[in-house]
This record gives sequence, C-alpha cells and structure tokens, in this order.
Amino acid sequence: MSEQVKMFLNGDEAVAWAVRLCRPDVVSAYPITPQTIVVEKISEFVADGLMKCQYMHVESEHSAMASAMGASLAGARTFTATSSQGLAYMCEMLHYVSGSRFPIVMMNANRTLAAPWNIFGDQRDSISQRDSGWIQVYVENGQEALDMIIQAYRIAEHEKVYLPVMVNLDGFVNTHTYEMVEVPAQEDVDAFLPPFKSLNAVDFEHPKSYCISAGTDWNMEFRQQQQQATLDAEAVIQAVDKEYGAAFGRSYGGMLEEYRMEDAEVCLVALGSVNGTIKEVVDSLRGEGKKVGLVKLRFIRPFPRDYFKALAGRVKAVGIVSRDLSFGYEGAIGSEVKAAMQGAGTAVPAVNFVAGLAGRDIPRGTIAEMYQKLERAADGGAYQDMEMVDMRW
Amino acid sequence: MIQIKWYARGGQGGFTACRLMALAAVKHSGSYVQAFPSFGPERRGAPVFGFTRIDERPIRDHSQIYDYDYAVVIDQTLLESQDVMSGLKEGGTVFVNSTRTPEELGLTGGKVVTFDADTISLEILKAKISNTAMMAVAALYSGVADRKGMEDACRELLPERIVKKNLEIIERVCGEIGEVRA
Repeated sequence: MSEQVKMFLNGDEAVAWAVRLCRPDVVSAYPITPQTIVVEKISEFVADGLMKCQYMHVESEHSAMASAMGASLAGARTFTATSSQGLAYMCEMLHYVSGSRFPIVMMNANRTLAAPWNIFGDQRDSISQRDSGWIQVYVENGQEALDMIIQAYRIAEHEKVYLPVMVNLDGFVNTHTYEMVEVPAQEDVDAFLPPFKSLNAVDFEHPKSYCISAGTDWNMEFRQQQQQATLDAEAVIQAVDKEYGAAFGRSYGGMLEEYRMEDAEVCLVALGSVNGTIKEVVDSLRGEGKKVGLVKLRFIRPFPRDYFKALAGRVKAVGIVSRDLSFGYEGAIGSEVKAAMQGAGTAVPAVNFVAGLAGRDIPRGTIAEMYQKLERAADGGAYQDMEMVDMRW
Repeated sequence: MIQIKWYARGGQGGFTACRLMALAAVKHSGSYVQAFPSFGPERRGAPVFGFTRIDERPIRDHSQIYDYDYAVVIDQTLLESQDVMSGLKEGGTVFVNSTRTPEELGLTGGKVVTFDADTISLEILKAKISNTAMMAVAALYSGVADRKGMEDACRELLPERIVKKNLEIIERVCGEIGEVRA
C-alpha cells in the first residue's frame, strides 16, 4: 500500500476527497448549507481536470436525485449530497431510488428542519427518512466520513445489496471542523473499489422494465426482496469494514462500535459526532471507578436488533442520546433501541435523552449528568422514559 | 490539551488565523488538532469566534470550548460586548490587538498581552487585516508553534498571491517580540 497523505481538511472537504478517489461517473447535486463545500470542492476538482466525471448542475434537490437515478440507470457510479430541506425536497425520489435498487451514494449534512428555520445540526432530517429504504450510516469525525464514503460504494454495489447508502455528517460539528485526515492513494482505492459494472443498467441486448408499476399481486414480493437485501446488507457492512481495515489500517466495527463496554453497568447509545465527546466522559468517569460504557451506533438501517436484544441482559440501565424527536413520542432511534431490548424479555430501565436539537451543544457535563441519572435508575431509582435535556424550563 | 478561542469580526480573517494556528502546531510538533468556527453564517462585521484544540493524542471531544488556555482578540472593539477573561483558565493568557495597555483596556483577572498588530498589517497589507500578526504573537508567546511551522502553514493554507506578505508579517512579529518567547 502506498503511503496515505495527511491533509488538514474539514468534514465536507474530506467527503469531496473521498468522492474523487471513488471515481464516480456522474455527480448531480444542488448546494445547501452546511453541505455546500462538498459540491463546491467536487466542482473545482472537475473544472481543474482532477476528476473525470459529468457534473450536473440541477435546479433543485428533487432533480438532483431524479437525475442521479437516471445516471445510475445508465450504469454510472453516481454521487450526490444534500442536507435538511434539500433532503426533504428529494423525499419522493429517495423511495424511487431504493425501490428500483440503484446503488447511489449520498452524503447528508445533518441539519434541522424548519420551522423555526435554522441551519444548525440535528438528525431530524435523515431520521425522518428512516423508512425511505436507504441504508444509513452516521460518522464521528472527518476521517470516518472519508472512509465511509469509500466503504459506502462497496456496500451499495454489492450484488446482494444493490441499495442506496446515505452517509450522515453532523452539520457544522463534522462538516466545518478541520482535522488532520489521512487520504489514501488513488491506486489503493482503485484496488479496493473496482470500476462499477451495474447489474441494473439499461441494456438494449437484454431489455428490462424500470420504475415499473406492480399491482397487488406482486408488489409485496418486491418489498420482501427489498427487506431481504437490507437485512443482508448487515453481513456486507461487517465484511467491507474488515476488508477496509486490512487495506487502510482503519476500521470502525461495522454496524456499531463498543467503547469500554466489557463490564459496563450503565451505557449510552448515540449516533454521530457526540460519540467522541461521550468517549472522553466515559474515560473520565472510569477514572472515578464508575462502570460506564458507550455503544456508538453507526448504522440505523439495517438496524442491529439482535445486538440490542442481547444488550438488555448485559447492563442495568441504558440511555439513548437522540438529536432527533418524533413529536408526541420520543426520539425514533430511542424507541427502536428500547423495542429491541424488550425482545429479550428482561426489563432494563431505558431513558431517551433528547439533546442537541438545532445545533445546541452537548457539553461533557450534560453527558456526565445522563450517566448519573442512569446509575440512579440502575439502583432502582425513578427515571423518565424520555426527557429533553439542558432546557430553560 | 491546549484550547484557544479567537475573537474577530467577519472579514478580519479570524477563522483563517484559527486554522493557521492549528496547522502551524501540526507542522511544529506533529500534534493532533481541531479547528472550528462559531457555527453559523458569517457576515462581514458581525462577531465571529474560532476555536482551536491542540493535543498530543487524537482529539475526540466535539463539544464547544468554554474554558481556554489562550484567547486572541483580533478586534479590540469586541471587548465592549465580550467578556474575554471569564473563560480564561488559570495560568492562561489573553492576547489583544491594541496600542493600549491591559490596564487601559480594563482587563483584569488574568495575564493579558497587548500588541499593535494593526500598524504592521497596514504597512505590509495596506489593510487592517491583523489575523496573521496576532496568530504569530499568540504562537510565539505560547510556544504552540514556531516560526517555521507558521510559515509552512501559510504556504499551505493561504492563496498564493498573499503568502509572501503574510510571511513578511510573521518575520516582523518575530523581529519585534523575539522568536522564542515561550
């Protein structure tokens, strides 16, 4: 393997570099804060002749996804990126792409949805598209963002999967933070990710129908296949992550990463950049002798149901940190973790901490308080099923 | 871990200084770094904050910086609205771009160094863009980066047309306060 180049990049730039290394044939995107740097950087690469791809300037996110689908149908490796309102605007096409089984990779800069209008980060945008049939992964930092774009193509284009993948970066906290990022050499990425030969492309020698109607007699069988492919993706995700680790020296645990969970009595479960901050708090509390741990959930679709089912028998209390809220209930991933744990038949106190909406910071002290509440719950103390933290009242 | 907070107004290059310092630290000592702006749309003239973290081990904390070892105030008019001393850690230093003394600025409760960066910037850039000069002051006093690290960072991060003048600024600051202060 050639040496990787250490570059001083923000998360958006790291994504753009990863996309360049993946050699997409078509990039179709519309800029939106805080994703803008991704598409600016890619269009610079194309204009400077450093990327040989068709860059499509479209007039909206709906068209971005529609033309990405058209390009994938023509057999092109395709990339797009969006955020928040843009993701909401392309919602209709998200379902078309997943249902038609086009392995498009999209970066989403997690940003809250209006109203009240706000450009800052939370995960309500992507989690509200949980049921759109896309594989979804959340990253902790710029390095993981770069690595996951490359892995995403291998997962999406795997013959057992053929589904689109959404790589989520927390808006600003990931997208605009500069860190040193190791950028692999082109020939090594080429070896890991061979050119795309679509199994689902228009071919005049072998005509097929695309984006078809399917009536009541067959529609559910299509859904069954889509469900099976998404479930099968779990083994592919694990395998690709291992192979990536062997090739580039970095792997992330596939579906999730356990941090200091060996003998943990209480743990938090979280998505995205806050995991880094939680790891710092875990180390500090472990230093005080507290048996705390973290489950960094990376993929929400497919969902690691069996892991959480088993987790219920290992710990005394679980907290799920949600930068998301399904109004009238709780954070959607909070509900899912709780439901999976119920499957074990063991009642473990579980608290959904809704935090960090619309870019509100989640400081270390707030995380330490979550662990304190979980410890009280583990000792038989009262707890709330769901609470919004760091509120004015 | 060293944490630095930057105070500037949109258009004064506060976030550029924040990034230059991080990269200069990497060049100087191979540190792990993080540099991020106060999140939001930047408007010319509006207060803009930057944050730099520097450590010997990978930086995982993604929360904002509430207590800092150093603060760098590129625009002293921000002292009217910002309490720069309140987040300063014990033993830390605040660097202010000003011709006045800390006493004249009314800054108490911690170490304050003032430096007239505007005069140098006006002379060399013909504009009051004092980010690089203040970055150099903070780097030399704190020992976070040396002259070579700063020069390398400028060459890598700044547009080619302004590199030479920024290297000149670093040279002037080194000449005025000495290359080894920390």
